[in-house]
Amino acid sequence: MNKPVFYDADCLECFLFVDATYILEELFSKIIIPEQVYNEIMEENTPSLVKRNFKKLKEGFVEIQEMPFGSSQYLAYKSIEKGFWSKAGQICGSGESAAMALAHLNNGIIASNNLSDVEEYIESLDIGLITSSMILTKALEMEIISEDTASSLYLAMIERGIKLPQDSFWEYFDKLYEIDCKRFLKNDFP
Amino acid sequence: MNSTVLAEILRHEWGIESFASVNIRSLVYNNIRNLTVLWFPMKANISGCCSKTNEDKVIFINTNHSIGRQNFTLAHELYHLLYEDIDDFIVCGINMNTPSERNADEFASTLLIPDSALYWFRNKNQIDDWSVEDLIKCEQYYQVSRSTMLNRLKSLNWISQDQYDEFGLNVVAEVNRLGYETGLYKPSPQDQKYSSIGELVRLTEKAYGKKKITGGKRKEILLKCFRNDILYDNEVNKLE
Repeated sequence: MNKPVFYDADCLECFLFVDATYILEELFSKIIIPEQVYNEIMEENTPSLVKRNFKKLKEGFVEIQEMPFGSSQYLAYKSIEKGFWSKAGQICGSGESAAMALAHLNNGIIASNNLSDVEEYIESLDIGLITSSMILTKALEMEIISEDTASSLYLAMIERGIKLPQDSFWEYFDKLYEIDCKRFLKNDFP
Repeated sequence: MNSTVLAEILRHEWGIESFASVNIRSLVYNNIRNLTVLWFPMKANISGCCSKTNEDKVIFINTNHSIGRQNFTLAHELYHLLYEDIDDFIVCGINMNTPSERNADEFASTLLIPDSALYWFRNKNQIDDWSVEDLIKCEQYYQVSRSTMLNRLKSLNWISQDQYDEFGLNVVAEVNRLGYETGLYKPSPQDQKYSSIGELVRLTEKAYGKKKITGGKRKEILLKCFRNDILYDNEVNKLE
């Protein structure tokens, strides 16, 4: 992938919950998370499994990006967070706001599962989007994981309470994967 | 109006029978609008805090104190919220001896166990001279700490100073010996150190339902008010 990917917590947590971050390490040279997403993952009440698996990511793989106060990134982040860039004035979480601001200003892609929340922004700001379902499918295509593993990881994510677009991996693969790639990524995730 | 009378009136207004024990957590949840209560660990010398604006009320309770003490603190903070003007935050510590704190203590004590309830309990159990077993039975029934119980009995002259001193020793061991549940006398268990109830959760879910906030914002607020049980599957919360 040519463009930098900025992760929202929900997408990264999918892989942390099921201890499958090796997929990310195989697919990407590094992942970038805003400081706000890091803080959310390290929050006292985030399940310890998530925090423990995050700490197991190989050194240097995660880049935590800060936004200096008053910088253009910071102003974009705050505007999104407070709903100034939303037609409906919808207030966003700090993690997803920061990831969207960074993706927007760095010509990057946002990794998020909250489609309904980020849709307005990815369209108006022309940001690419990947979801955990898309990442899982790409890992299968690149033979990083087997069909059985893709299927069981998808189910494991659902069992952890994560909302995914279909009830099973194969339903997603058959019904949505191609549409998602065309709609959200154009040619950024070949 | 003195704080004891205020507590008696509040019990009446909330429909609590004179001798009944109360579940203070569900009582405040059911009866006070715009209140959020958060439980989390604090320094040992702080019992709780409270604050209010025209629209919102908030109470913090120290989960490093025993459950019985936490119940008392919640009732104590209610007094500050319902009957006093609060400029900013009120922080309530142990051994604070201002008139406001004394009033709040009296209010809390009566809200949890009115005098009439203590008389009823004594007559029902035919208690002439309070034993440690009577004491435990009573505090278990009313879900109050040993010190609350002893202070009440002492103020009614139902126990002597020697009994007061003696009953304050080896509390958990005595409770164990007599086969009672000891949770009341201990701090919140590790997996219940952080929790909250009330308006903040209700408003967050309402705002999310009406698309005023995104799922990310909902998660951020619920994590900050310790409601990961709403966000994550229960098994995930338990996983270590």
